[in-house]
Amino acid sequence: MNQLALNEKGRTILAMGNDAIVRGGLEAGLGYFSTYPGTPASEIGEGYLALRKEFPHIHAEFSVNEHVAAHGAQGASWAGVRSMVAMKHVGMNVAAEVLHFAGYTGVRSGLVVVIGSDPGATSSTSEQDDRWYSLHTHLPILEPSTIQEAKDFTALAFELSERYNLPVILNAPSKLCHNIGSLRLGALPDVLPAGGRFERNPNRYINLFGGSVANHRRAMEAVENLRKDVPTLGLNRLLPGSGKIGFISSSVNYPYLLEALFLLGITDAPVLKIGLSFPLNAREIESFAEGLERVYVVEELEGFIEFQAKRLLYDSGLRTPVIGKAVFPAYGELDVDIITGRIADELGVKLPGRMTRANELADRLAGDLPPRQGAFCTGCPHRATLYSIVKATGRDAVFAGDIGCYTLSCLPPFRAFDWVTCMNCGVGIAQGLLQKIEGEDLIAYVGDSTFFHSGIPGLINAVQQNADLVLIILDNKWVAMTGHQPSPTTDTTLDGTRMRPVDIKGLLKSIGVSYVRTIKPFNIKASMAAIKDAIRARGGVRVLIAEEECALQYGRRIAREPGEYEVYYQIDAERCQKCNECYIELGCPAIRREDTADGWRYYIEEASCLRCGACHDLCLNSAILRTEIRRPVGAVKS
Amino acid sequence: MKNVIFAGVGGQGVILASKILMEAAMAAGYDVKESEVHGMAQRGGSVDCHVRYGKKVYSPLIEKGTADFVVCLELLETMRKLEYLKSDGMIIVNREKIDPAPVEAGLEKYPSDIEDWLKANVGKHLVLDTKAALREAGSAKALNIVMLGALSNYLEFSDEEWASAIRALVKEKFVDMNLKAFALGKGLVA
Repeated sequence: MNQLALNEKGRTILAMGNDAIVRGGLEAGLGYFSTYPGTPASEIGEGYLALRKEFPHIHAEFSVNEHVAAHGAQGASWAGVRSMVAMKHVGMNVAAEVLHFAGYTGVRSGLVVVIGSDPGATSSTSEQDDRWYSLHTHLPILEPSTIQEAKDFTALAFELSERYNLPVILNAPSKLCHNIGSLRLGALPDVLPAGGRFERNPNRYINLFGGSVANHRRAMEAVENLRKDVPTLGLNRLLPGSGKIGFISSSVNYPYLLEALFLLGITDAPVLKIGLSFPLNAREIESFAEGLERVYVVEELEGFIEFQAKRLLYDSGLRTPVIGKAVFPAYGELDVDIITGRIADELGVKLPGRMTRANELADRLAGDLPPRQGAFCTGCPHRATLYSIVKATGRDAVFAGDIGCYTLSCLPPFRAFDWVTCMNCGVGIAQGLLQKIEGEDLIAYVGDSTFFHSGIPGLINAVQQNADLVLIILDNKWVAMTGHQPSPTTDTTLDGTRMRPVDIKGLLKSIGVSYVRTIKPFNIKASMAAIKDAIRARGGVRVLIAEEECALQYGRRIAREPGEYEVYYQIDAERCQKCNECYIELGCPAIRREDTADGWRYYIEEASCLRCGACHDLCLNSAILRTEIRRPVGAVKS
Repeated sequence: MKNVIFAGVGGQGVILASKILMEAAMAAGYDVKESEVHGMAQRGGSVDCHVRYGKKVYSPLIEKGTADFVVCLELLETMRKLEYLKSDGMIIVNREKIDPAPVEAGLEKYPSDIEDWLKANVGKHLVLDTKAALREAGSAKALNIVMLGALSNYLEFSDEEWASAIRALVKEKFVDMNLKAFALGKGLVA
């Protein structure tokens, strides 16, 4: 039984932050959910999809991008159904247009926007602080600080959204989305929300001319109504203290701050915990700051609360110094160590002496250790495609990168990747660059999901402007990097459900791409030849579709339904010339090196090998042998 | 309060090991908090999980110099987590080397003297040879559970508590294999 579906009020379970958000929606009677997957928020969508049986009234989907997802949630809210849209922080850039209007139009039923932020950019190309958007979208922001609050605030967000007639944002950093802790369940609604119906509301929904001005005013007044009520909502909490130095904090930094103060033996500092970081209430900030010598704001990323607090205090004439980003870094993740260290420096308190000689030695050594960044999985078709690209070009080309698993081609052994910024930066930047450079080959990458997310307009532009490039669509049939959500090219899910895959070739043809070839990545020699041909063809956009299912998904499929024959690959030590093509140039983790009685050898670790056959196809000495064995009778499902 | 860090390479099962510890701690009535980094974990990058349990836990993050245990499934990864170890804390590490990509590509060297370094600089350290235990358990994938078994010698939970935590988190058909791996791991510590 899925624990998130338990209707046992008061029961405590262990839950991830994303699970807590899912549960919060369930307790609030959610009826519609949409998302585009992105770390750290991807599991929210997976959570709702996994609950389809228990909550059949909830429509849950992975949309084609965040813009579409946000529109969908707005539509469901207009139908009178509580709706949620989730995305990672950079998804907000894509959804921003929709959400600016959603503030103007307001909601009919509660609309909650969950943003998974990524301070430290451990899984992202940027760590932008999305909270700034609210200064112009006018959307209130809740910042839960614990797993419990992640649930409670989510449920509350729907009420606030309806009461103040604005979509409400729940901002959760990766250190909340992915952390695990105890969660006390609340009650599930007795009555499941019924289907909705549309009611015309032209004053609000038709944003035109004077109507949009009226809506602008309405949104700003809604924020002021909420601002007035903040002290009565119980979202911000005061820990009183007799000290003259006060602290304001929010989100996961609040427990870090409490721990830091405890470690430093500071027991008398008043602390204001902010649960609603937009809008802030002037009276609340004033009464906290009044009489204090200084106020420190401990928040992650940029000084959003600091900025607002300073402005409110300025207007009220209070001149208590508010110190935030001058002390606590505005970039990277904060942690207890950083916060403790900065407060100790500021207040001249001695740091507790916990660090031993071994700690300090290790700290220094850590910088010299060989890094262990991610690599393509064993059997990944992208590894084979990248190998063929590197061999076909000798790295003598401009490589337009993009976002997906293939971003790993910036790392050794491939290093054939020249930029990555936002989704579809590959073709988009390339087609402009090509108008002003000459005589260079350009290879652009894009994955299937990224391409459908927002790549089609850029490609149409490239075709119309006759950009001279080779686009390689790495079609692995899944949104793989974020945990295998379905992509528009997924044709059958693992449980056998048939999807309606988009016909990429038909689409390319219809937008005017006349050169389209499909390559099978594990056929290295054929792929290399196709890449060389495409480069030589010159003139206009040429597209190669590298089509092969993600190895992890393929592996799961095969585990469920093994074929009649089992295949093995082995390295024949007699024939192996140790030329390093498979071990270094392909870099497959299943190929290992081991010492032997008379030197060393390369071998294939059978348990890791996914039988993709790329090494077999590329070996220059035919030293990698393929063996096919018929499985024993009964091992194959009928 | 106990602070335990699990570390290793993506795919080794670091996260499952930490979940089993959390489950045991929660069942025993403790407040539990955990912090981890997702993203590249499945793709062979460094992975670590911080687990804290006690009467009341505020922050899910373990501060440097305060970990009671660092349990590491790969030798090199130990070195990245040492700064977290308490002065009388203990390192439990699997004696296995997995070359990171830059080492495979011949760009960098895998440090050769890690065990000597631990001997010289860390009071309580345990370098375990898990190969035989894994062979006996019947799966190389049980490494995380073998290491958890080794750790269990130093924590307050009973065998029955561990077993029910394993049952709660492992697929039914793998429970027996994992219970065996746990016992074998426990036995690795003399």
